[in-house]
Amino acid sequence: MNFKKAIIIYKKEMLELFRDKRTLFTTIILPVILYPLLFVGFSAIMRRQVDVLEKRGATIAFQDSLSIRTPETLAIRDSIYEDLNKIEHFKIIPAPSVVDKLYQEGELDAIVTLKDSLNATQKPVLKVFIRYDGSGEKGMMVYQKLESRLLENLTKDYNSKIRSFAYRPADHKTSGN
Amino acid sequence: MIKVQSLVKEFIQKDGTSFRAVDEVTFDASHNEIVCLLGVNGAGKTTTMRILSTIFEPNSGKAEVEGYDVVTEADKVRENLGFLSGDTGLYQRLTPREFITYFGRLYAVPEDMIERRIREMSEILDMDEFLDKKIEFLSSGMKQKVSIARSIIHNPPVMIFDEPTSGLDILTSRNIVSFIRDCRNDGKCVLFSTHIMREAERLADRIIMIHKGKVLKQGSLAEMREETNLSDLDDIFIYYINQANGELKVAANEF
Repeated sequence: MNFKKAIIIYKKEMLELFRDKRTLFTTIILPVILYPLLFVGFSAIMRRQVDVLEKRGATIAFQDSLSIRTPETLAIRDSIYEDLNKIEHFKIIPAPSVVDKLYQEGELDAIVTLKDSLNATQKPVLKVFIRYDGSGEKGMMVYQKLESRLLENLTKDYNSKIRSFAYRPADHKTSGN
Repeated sequence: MIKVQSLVKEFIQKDGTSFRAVDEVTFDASHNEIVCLLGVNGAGKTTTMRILSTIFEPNSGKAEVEGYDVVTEADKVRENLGFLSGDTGLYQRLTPREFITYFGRLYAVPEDMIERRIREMSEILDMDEFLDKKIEFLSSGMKQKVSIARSIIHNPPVMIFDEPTSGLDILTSRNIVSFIRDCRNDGKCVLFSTHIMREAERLADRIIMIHKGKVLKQGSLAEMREETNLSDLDDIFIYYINQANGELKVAANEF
């Protein structure tokens, strides 16, 4: 088939396509209407979630479960604690002894726990656990903010410290409710 | 002109066996002539026509249209042939004018010639009133006229019509029959198939009867009347069919 014939067939196909109201609606009109609607809808939902979070704020317990308590590990712990405290509308408190009870009662929105352990080569590894309620919008928002903050700062500010401590951001762990 | 020599076409069936739809068919058709293929359903008429129109390739034998081989010179054959199939698909959302123009362009007919041909065919086939309506809203007869116009937009010297009046009302049928006759008078070679004996009687210069893939009889209506002493083509057709079936039975008994 030569190029001229291909053009003739293409023109005919286009002519047919633009006369088919159903195809036109599903391929052109529907997306044009639907995508902005979806965008506006999702934006509104996100805005509402942020508003809710800002209005209510969130209380997070920071739990220190380190067993290796060297100046380096404590410095990392303090850095994480300070970083988390910088999140707007978040109140980070040291975990009280009844942290689990408070979490169950809904007084806490999440618990951030810092732990250490030894890896296969007997090197100490730091792990951050986030316990949150994944069933609700607020819980998810809290988790996302905590996670993004932790990941951002773990890779930026005290990367060298972490490396010296054999900590890798990929080791960062989270857990659901 | 059309030349068919010992044409064979076999299809493989679902159970793996082969079915010979066209069996050593030989005939020819010249310019200024209308040749009619007659046969019961499944006789092999449409398959023969489809081989001539380059849709199917034969298993053996030879077929030529205007001297071009249907297998080795298929493009040339298509340039010289107008084929109206029994189940022509039409683009429902186009108008007849757009549809015919589209095929005219594919056949590389110049634009002014396409317009002229559409005017001519519109007049001959009485298509003026629906030329710019969408095909999806047309009646069967109107659609058939559009199909005919589409198949001959490039003014081919050879025309093949597969049951051109099937399912049409008497007025439209007459119109099409008259058009086929005009084609012959314009010097074209016309091969058509039909189940309507009266149509064959009125149109055909020669009749080729096909039965179970084989040519049963070919000749003019006058020759067949003389041979059978029957006047009606219906009776003549049944006479030959019965004769063939009888002969087949005899052959089977002898075997």
